[in-house]
Amino acid sequence: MDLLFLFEWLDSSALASVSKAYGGVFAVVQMFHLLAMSVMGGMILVSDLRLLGIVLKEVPSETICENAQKWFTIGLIVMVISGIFMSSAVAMKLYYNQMFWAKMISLAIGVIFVYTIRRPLLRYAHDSINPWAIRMTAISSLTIWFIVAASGRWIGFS
Amino acid sequence: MNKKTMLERTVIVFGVVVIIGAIWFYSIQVGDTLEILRLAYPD
Repeated sequence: MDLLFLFEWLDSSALASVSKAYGGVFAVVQMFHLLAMSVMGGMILVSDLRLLGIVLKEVPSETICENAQKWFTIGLIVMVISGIFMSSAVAMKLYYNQMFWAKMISLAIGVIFVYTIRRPLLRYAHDSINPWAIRMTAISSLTIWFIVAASGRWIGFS
Repeated sequence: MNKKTMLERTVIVFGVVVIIGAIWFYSIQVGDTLEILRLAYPD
């Protein structure tokens, strides 16, 4: 499915006019993008490292995962909204950038994984879940989100 | 098979696929970096 028409529309939209003309606005939105990324990254690290039994061992993993999930979702929403704004400034450049597509694909996989596999599985009592399934959940999550972050950073160098 | 068992098996298979995919992805990035270094420093 060719999304060129979407990027061309975004590149000529009113949003792009603002993001291209006002560097200060772009910088502030980027700040929110990075803050949201920190929130998401923090929630992922805390919950996944707890599932692996590395941090906060005295706190039930159900408590940590449930509380982290809420802030993960907020961070994700802010990141997507700010990401769309930032993308509008360089839409055509991003369309032809391989690392951008790597990031988007891994982001999509990550979001689908969290809401269709991880969250439904972790709703059960963690003691009743197969320990290898718990470990794989944590390792998969850490791997996917690391790829999202790394390919996002790589966009600037490619 | 109940839902929990299905999710457990899915996440284990998914995890293996993700790990293999990550190794492949980073091997490409490392390969690209080494190629750039080779071009930049041919000696």
